[in-house]
Amino acid sequence: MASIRFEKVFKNFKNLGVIKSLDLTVDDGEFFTFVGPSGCGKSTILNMIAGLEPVTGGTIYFDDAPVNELTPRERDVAMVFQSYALYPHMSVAENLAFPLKMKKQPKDLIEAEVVRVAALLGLEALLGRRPKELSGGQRQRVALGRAVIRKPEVFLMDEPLSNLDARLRVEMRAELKRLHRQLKITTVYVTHDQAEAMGLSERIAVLKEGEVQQCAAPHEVYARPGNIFVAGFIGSPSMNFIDAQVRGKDPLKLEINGVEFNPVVERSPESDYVTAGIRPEDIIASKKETTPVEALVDLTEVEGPVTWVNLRWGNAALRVKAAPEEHLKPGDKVFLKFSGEKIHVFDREAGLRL
Amino acid sequence: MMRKLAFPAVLLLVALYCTGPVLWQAVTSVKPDPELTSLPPVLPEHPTLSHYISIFTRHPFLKVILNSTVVAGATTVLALLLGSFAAFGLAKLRVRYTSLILGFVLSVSMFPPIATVSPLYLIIRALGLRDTWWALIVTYTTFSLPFSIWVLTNFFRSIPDEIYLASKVDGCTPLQSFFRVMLPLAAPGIFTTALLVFIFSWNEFLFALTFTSTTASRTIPVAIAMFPGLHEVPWGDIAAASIVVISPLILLVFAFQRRIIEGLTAGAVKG
Ligand SMILES: Nc1ncnc2c1ncn2[C@@H]1O[C@H](COP(=O)(O)OP(=O)(O)OP(=O)(O)O)[C@@H](O)[C@H]1O
Ligand SMILES: [Mg+2]
Repeated sequence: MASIRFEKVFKNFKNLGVIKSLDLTVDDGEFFTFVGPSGCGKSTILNMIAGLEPVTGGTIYFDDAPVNELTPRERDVAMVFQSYALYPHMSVAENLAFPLKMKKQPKDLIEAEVVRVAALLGLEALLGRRPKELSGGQRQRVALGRAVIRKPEVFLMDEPLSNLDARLRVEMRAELKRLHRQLKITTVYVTHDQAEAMGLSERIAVLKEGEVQQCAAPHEVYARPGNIFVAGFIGSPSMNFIDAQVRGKDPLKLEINGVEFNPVVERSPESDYVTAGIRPEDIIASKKETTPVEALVDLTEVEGPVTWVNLRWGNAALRVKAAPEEHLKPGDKVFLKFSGEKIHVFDREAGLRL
Repeated sequence: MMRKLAFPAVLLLVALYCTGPVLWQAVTSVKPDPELTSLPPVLPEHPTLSHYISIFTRHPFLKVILNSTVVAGATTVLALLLGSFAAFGLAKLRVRYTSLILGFVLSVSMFPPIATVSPLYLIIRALGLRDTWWALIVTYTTFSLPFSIWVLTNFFRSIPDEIYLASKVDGCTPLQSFFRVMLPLAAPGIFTTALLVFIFSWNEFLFALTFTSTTASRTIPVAIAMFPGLHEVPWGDIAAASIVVISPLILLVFAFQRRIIEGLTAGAVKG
């Protein structure tokens, strides 16, 4: 087991900077997730940790030893590839056994481990099959099995659940968590699914175009997003952003569509205009006239215990929450209730949190 | 109706065009001498095996077949061994200027053999390899390497990078990755290349004629060319020898037909 430390790591493909100065530490035994949209460099980071891509500059340390010059074999990492990368000419059992075979483990131990991992991942009935005879989800489980059959220094997982159906994904998420609690092996996980990242990890790093936007515990990122990008990326449905006019700076007073708000901020804005961010779950729409704020329903979307409502408030489009019992329909007139302290304020120029 | 018949008719024509000479040779090889020059080449009234017996008794044909087998076999093994190592490196390892290297490799096969045969003869003589198996093995390997490197590079390229990377993460050294993962996956390509290299070396005439002088190393095509005497051309013996020579090739191709088709079309369709 090891901690992983990035020191000013950057990566260029040709002259294109894909990772720009990565500086962070994944603690020993931690479940750490890189999350970000497609093409932001997540797989590249994993490949650099594994030793499959050389870094262009900077140093990666496992504990206190630099590993830049070590081969993947010497780094002793196990990796689940985004595209499974199973060996097509081997059966499921042979695929699972391969890493142990390469470590020259005794035969009976390998057989026992294959049976154990197959049971863990529900692959017992498939051991004799070739990868091309498996469904996407089954392949993914074999790929996962090939990684967890070893006890490596570090687990690297590149979107290992992306091809499972919703139910299996939730089950496997729980399985991964249980596995991590049991083995306590440092795990670096990559996903573009923010819900998966929030649910699994002890800490997450939100990436955008090769730069870490924020690195903190999931609840912290959710409660105090560091900039507009993080605020919009984390949380589903995503946050509403509305232009707001500054009416008073200390304490901060904002005016949005003629309504006054008093959000809590750490520093005062420099200009007279800011961007206010409000999560849909922090605005409640109701037909009952409990507030003076009036809006018009555009669209509704029932999602089990809540209904998400797209509506027009003055010239702003918002997405808000409503109780399903309201039975809102497009065209209905509703009244909005804001939870005042849950307004995030960002400066207009750099989009940074105030 | 006409359309329906046209396609099989065209196929039949093409098949006849390709197999015609072979069939003619086959028929000739079992004809007794007096009937040899009769036209059209229909089946003889009294088929005979005398030509087949004659090539093994009146000529050292067994030794010649052995020469050809060793030369073509060794060439195939060498060309594939060197070719697959080179191709693996070019396709999967961090090698710079791969397209330049591939272009350079290809340029080797651009020299017409007739232009290189004299200098090569001088080299072979200087090395004391004249009239040995090695003279041909080295030459044939040189000339079939560009082809094997090109075909195999494409094969290794069609194997997803991630599979190679996964084997590295799973603890393989590059050589282990090569033998345990890459080579089995490129098997169809290896088969196809092997067969084509074998056929090339089996059939080659110019270098074989130049570098050999006795039955110590003479290969089949040259031996057959030596059949005609001062006063007669033994068409029957030549035909019999030709049939003996091409049968292993035909058997090989039929045996590996599926593999070859897989090999030639692999990478064209994903999956
Ligand atoms: N070998 C390469 N050569 C050139 N550019 C590359 C190479 N590999 C990746 N890139 C570029 O680097 C950027 C990051 O790629 P990466 O695969 O790390 O993205 P990702 O975050 O994993 O995306 P996804 O979620 O789609 O898998 C992309 O813009 C991609 O085009
Ligand atoms: Mg990726």
